[in-house]
Amino acid sequence: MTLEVIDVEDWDRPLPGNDPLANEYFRLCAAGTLTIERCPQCRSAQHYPRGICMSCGATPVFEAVSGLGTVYTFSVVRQNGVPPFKGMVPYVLALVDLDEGPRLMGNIVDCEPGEVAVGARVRAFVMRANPDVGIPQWRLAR
Amino acid sequence: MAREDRTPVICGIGLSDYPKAPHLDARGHQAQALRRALADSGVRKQDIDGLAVAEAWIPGVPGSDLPETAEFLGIDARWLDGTYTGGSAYEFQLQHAEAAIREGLAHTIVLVYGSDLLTRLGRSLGTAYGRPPIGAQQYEAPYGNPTVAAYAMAAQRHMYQYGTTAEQLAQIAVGVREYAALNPNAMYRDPITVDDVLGSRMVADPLHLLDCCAITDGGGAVIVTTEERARDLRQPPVYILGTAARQTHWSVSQAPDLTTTAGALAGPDAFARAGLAPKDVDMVMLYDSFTITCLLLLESLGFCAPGEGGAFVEAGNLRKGGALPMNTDGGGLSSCHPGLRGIFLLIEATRQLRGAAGDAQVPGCEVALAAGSGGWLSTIGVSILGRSAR
Ligand SMILES: [Zn+2]
Repeated sequence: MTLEVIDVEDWDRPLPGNDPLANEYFRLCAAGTLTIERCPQCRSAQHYPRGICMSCGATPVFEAVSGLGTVYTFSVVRQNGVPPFKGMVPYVLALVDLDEGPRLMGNIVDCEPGEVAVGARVRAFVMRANPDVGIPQWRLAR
Repeated sequence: MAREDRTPVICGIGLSDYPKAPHLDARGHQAQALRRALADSGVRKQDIDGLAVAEAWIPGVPGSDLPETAEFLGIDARWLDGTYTGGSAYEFQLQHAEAAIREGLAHTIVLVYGSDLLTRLGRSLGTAYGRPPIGAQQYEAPYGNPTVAAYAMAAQRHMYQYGTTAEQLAQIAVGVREYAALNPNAMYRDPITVDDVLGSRMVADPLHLLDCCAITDGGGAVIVTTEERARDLRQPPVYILGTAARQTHWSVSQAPDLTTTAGALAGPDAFARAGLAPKDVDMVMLYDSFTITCLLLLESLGFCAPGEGGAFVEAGNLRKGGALPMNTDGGGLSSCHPGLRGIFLLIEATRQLRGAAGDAQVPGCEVALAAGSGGWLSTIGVSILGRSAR
């Protein structure tokens, strides 16, 4: 399914997509498609993309996921000396288990930090840093 | 001539100036710690033929090559190890050194560490720098993931899964501070209470300021040789009874389970090699980058069952006079954490097994366990040391 994509002007956070596989992953995100790698041989799912199946060695393919997940854990970060995060505190950093299996890091935004809980359901959207790089992010699924 | 007894022992330890030493850079710490370990042991520098060094990545500081470090220190090594696994690196390296001594690849090996983290970066709580978005970090760096947040997420999950409380974590900081009061060099020595910890500002929920380790300067050196060679040296030998290491992940988002650590795998290996069990351990040096790190190591190494760490701490087991005194030098939480704390775990365990820990001495200390944790609860190295051979 296609995720909501929001263009962010003047993206000042670290910019990923700096090797061919990551470049493809974040380009797909920029088009509204969150993916995992799926192995055509053994059906294993994995994230982050490695270009080789960690289970059997076959070449995996990018597979679109639903963008729905569950908070495995999170923290409200209240101190970070690194710009631009320094000016963003407090913000929620989380690990999200996709319904399809793999776990991703992300921020949970557009809510009060106190609303986030382990086990909460979340839905992905994309912050587009430039036309080729989309960063998956999360909101509470209400 | 009889074959040399190659039982590996720790024969020398040295600490450089800490917690703040603006007169030393990282190399200065290495050199000073080495000098002090040589003086402690009576080993002559020309007799050292093996060197192990781990250097942490610090932004803006060029990394140095291992052979260049050997050159700087003036060590002609026939055996070199630069294994880097974060805070557990010196437990990993001790395992390698132990095997090298047994195998005869080297006769006298020194593990050396030095860091000027405090002088260079200030008191940052580990939030002073981010990692560049390359490799696996591309999937984390855009989100603002300071080191403390990884441990905070582990604590949050442990609380959710087992009902562990902030008060229980705070007890760890309180107990370690009691020992820091006995160490004149410790960074923070004033007694603290659970309320002090809970009242200190939140850095990353659920971890407060006083749940986080100090940022200091410091360095250390540990000399390992054969039991036979140690007979002619100054100190009683400390025996390396069992070592093991394990990695489950590196990036925190790749951790299979943040409520445990690779200690659950490395611990049984180390105990099996030593022929010992957790109940045989008289004191522990557990990596205390954050209070939660100790709790997870306690559980995963089998000192208590998963989920029971909070109650184990609350019962006072880790405190002075408790069943399992922990971090008797004041730990990373209150005394010394210049980046890679692993070597200080070995040094304090050795001091305890020599019976040379002064006011902090654990009575009748026969077996000590040091467990380093590197990265984001990623790499766990376990060293079981003893006052006598087994
Ligand atoms: Zn496969």
